[in-house]
Amino acid sequence: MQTKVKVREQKILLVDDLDYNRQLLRNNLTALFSREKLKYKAFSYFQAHNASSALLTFSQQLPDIVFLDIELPDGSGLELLTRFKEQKPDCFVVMVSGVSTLENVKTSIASGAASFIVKPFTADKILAVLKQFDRYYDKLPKAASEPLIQKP
Amino acid sequence: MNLLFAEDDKLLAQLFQLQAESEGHQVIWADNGDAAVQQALSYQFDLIFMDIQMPILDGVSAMQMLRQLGYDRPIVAMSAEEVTAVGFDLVLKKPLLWPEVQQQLTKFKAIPSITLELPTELKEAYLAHAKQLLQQLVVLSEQQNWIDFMAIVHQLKGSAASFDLAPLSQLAAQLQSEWETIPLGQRTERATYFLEQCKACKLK
Repeated sequence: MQTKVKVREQKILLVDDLDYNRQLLRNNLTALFSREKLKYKAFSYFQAHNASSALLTFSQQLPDIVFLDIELPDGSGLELLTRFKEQKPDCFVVMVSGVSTLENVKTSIASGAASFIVKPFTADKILAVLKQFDRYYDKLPKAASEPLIQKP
Repeated sequence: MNLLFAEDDKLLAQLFQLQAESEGHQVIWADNGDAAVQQALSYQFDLIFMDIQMPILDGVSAMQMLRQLGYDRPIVAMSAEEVTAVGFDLVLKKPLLWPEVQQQLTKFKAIPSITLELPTELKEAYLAHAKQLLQQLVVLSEQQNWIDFMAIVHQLKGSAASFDLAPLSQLAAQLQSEWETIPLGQRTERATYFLEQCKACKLK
């Protein structure tokens, strides 16, 4: 009898209106995944350059991690955060912003953001987030990643 | 080590800074809890000293906010009263006595900093993009279209430093922080000055 094991690759969604920022982030994520001792490092990447495409990609892919810029051309990342958490409450959302006002940080935490990166990007900031994800993901109940054994 | 000292009493902060710097540490001072959170999120500190009673955001709330955001580096509380909040790595009794601080400091280690990977092609592509933005700014400034002008300045502030163009980010940040206070009649002049400063950065 064949046992079906569902291999589950994790997904990252990068939301930023500037293409270069997404590239930089993706480059550094892959570099850190290969260089640092991290538990979860098999990811596929999805990208969105504005709020509406982010919403669409999110509902199609239901990513595990989102890097979400707050200042988007067609809306606020904070509004998206609320919608994402409604669709997938255990999603690990990292807010990204050039302005870390107390208001922004407070609203982010209250709406369920896991972390907050103040631009500019540095490798230390990105690594801190990935280490946090490792701890977070370990604690999640993982029904989806367990082997799916077909019962007779 | 790189230390963040969050304390609203300026004299205490200066004293700490003198003592710590004489031992070879670098100290950045934050005079309230909000500033401390913002500084801490730069992830450039090995250790944070956090006063409990501070304006805008107290030390316990600032620590809790950081912990909620996954900040896992050490935070030391400083207080004359007992501190019961969970999340501090250590509580130092105020007034701080330097020999004791010195002894406690040996328990913590400097955290090695890692560098951002920036492929040359990506850096060059961004550079070309930044030059284009600066040209757009010249046009927008002539048109006195300040809304679009400042939108681009905001973008430069957020992104340039990630691509090894920190001076450009700083200039943009400075302009942004001043902008609302500049009278309408002086905006063209200030914008021109900003563009000249950017030019002087010699984007390479």
